[in-house]
Amino acid sequence: MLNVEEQRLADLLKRAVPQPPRELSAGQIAGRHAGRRPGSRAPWTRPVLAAAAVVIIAVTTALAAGHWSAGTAPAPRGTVQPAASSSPPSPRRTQGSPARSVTVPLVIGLPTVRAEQVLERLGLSVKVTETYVAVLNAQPGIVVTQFPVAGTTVPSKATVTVIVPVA
Amino acid sequence: MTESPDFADFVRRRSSAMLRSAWLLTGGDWALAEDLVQTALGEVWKRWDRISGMEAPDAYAHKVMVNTFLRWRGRRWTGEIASGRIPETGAVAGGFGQVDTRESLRRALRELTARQRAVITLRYFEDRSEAETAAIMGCSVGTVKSQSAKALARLRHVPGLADVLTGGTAC
Repeated sequence: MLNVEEQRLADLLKRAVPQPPRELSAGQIAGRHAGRRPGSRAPWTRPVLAAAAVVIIAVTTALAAGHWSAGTAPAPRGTVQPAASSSPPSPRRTQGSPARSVTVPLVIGLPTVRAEQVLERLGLSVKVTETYVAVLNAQPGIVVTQFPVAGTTVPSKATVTVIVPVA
Repeated sequence: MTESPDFADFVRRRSSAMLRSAWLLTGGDWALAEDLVQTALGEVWKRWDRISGMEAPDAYAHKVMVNTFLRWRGRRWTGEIASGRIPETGAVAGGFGQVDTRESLRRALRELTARQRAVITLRYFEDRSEAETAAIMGCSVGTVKSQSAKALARLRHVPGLADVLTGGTAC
């Protein structure tokens, strides 16, 4: 069944694999899974994860809403313009107040450098805030949140804060 | 939480064999091996009602262990060292005797991928057939064959093992 070489390897393994330094006991294993009944999953993990997600969303929304209300004008909801990653949006000045205010583009999902380019081309200042907080499905260096949110009209030269997770 | 006496007995009988297989899987790391066996036995314990009635709870426990190990890839350090060349060893030409077999083996294991280590462990340490190995790993017999061939090809070039495998100076 085994060829010569395979047989030699099998012999070698049986000879060379050492005896374990200590045995395990059932108590150790049961202790590690204390609180879990056989046949059940850890019952607390899902609610805890869900609660954590809710807290993150709530905090983000609250922060965004704070910036929104502090902004100069209500956001024109219909004009949210995602910035394509290949070509930056042309600077769109808000009608009626030329060169005085701009509509904040969507930069969530762009790499930090691209987000900075897009915003600076519109005359906006950029503040990059790095976060060590784990964000669901986030990749390091990719913008996950921005203040003010896309679509908000802000004075030109306003500062847009982008939140970027770091590894 | 009363622990079944059956399970305690199972652990006493099987933990040593599982630990030795885990030593191979983890590339000769006892700490990681113990962690692996404990995790696998934990899974077995959770479903002990069903598993204890099986024909071969031992085989099932090994299956859980190998699959747990393969799932660990990427999530944990598996002892793989990406390296284009095989590190120098103290082996002198033609002389295997000076190199400790165990150290050579440990070094050799780390040259293999996780799947190759799993195949080697199941096929040559636990003496399972290609079909059994394939069933445990959830892959085809062809994959088992190709993985073991690749593993052997790699081991053949590890100083210290080469002699043993080619029958030079088997100690």
